[in-house]
Amino acid sequence: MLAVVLSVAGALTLSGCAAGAGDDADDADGPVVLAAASAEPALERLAADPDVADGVSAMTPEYAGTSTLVSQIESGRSFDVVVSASRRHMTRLQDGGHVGDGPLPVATNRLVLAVPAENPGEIESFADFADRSAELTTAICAPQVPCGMLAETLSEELALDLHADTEETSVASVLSKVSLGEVDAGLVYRTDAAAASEDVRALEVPEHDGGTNQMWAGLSAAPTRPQAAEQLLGELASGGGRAAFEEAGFLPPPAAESDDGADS
Amino acid sequence: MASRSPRLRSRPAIPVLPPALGVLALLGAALLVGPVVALVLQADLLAVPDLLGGDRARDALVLSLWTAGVSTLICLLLGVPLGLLLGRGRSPLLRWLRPLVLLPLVLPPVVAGVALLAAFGRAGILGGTLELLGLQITFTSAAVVLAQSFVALPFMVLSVESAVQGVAREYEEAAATMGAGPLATLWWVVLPLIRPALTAGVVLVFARCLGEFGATLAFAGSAPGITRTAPVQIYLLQQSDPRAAAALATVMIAAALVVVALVHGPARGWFRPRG
Repeated sequence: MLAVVLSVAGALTLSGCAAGAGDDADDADGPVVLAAASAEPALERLAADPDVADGVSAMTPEYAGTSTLVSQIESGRSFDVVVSASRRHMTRLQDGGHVGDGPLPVATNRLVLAVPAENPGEIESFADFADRSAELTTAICAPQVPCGMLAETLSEELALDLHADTEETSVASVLSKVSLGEVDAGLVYRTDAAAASEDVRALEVPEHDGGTNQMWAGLSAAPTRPQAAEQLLGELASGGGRAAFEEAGFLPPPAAESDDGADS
Repeated sequence: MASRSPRLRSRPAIPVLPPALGVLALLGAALLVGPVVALVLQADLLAVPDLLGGDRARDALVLSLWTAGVSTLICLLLGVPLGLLLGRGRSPLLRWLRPLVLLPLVLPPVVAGVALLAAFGRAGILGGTLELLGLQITFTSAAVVLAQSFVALPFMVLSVESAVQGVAREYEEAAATMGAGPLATLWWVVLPLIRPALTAGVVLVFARCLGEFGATLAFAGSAPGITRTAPVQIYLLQQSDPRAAAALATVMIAAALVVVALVHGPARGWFRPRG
């Protein structure tokens, strides 16, 4: 008995050290889409749209934090289309030869200050939060993930010390800390706050430089279903995709020619 | 050479394992050892000193070490009595208690974190009471210790329980006849007899605490120097700087290896009762 427990212990000790790369997708017909978690409401809308081509509605999306997806792809995960929550991560995939030429901006996202519906910190506005940030319990994303890059920029541009009590590994875990009422406030994407509007209230963040992340979609350099993948990328960047993203609360992408990585 | 001994030569040659099973055994060993070796090979070992000089990695390691130390003390303090109770108790209620106590062993750590939030979180069952007392546990190092203790305590309980079941009651009866009270009997008779299990339990609990990840992330959060333990730091580095992640992971592997080698390695005889 003890021997079994001891071996389990050894395994558990090491298990914390390795973030696993996922398996390849199964043999479904549609293109394999690896998408930022924040894209989920938009992509689900698009897939359910009766007007889109069969290849688009048949896509098999998988959602995770953009940084997680990037490290999976860099570890050799195969895919057809990738949707990144930041231009910087898409550039990294392009530089690494994982994404071919011509990724396109598909939407714009920005942060809001989310507070729990019961508002334990009695925060009435962003200015109110800024005044009392030292005494409030706050969650933000770690600077390694796209939403954390935005939070860092916000802190610099507005010259505001956020006094974060925790830097979470994804926007989803910031949102869950807010929804559970474990923190007084958290910085999340406006689309995430919109999707959780029953549990959280969204307070607008003042406009500032670098306050938006562009969501980009790109084709794999070695797609397994090239035709369907191109069809999907076209759809994402045009009418149907635009509408789906806007219904999910995204802002329109910048004009395609502004290719300057303004989200850093 | 042992084979030159006439006594051994007269034995029929029975292999340790049927050859087919030997292949499987080697495969199993390769599965366990391969990934760890690969990680160490891939890590930039020369970068390890630089990395450990960096604030983030050093803070994470220091935090991991001291929280794991405190958690181990807590597990010792609570786990030994609980193990004795389960090992020696006769009440049928204990049959129901045992699986509940061991549950954290098989729970996914994230579930453990969510359960801890439900109990000690601000919105949890004890949250209101704690808030009245001016105590906040989530997002503090206390939450890290609590998460580690929750997942590691069953190891101590199991070690003590199975060891104490192997101790004949005659020793304690003899001590009692000679006038020793229950506490003196425990301290001078029972604990020395189960010392190997206690040592093994301490080492394993410490190792499990050092490796804790899921429950910490869900319950304690991730603030540098306060709740961001080495495994959480590795997870974050993995997404931005995989080589640095591999270097820090190598340090963790070295620590885990020392711990496991203490209990299972060539020196394990130290933990066996002497005489």
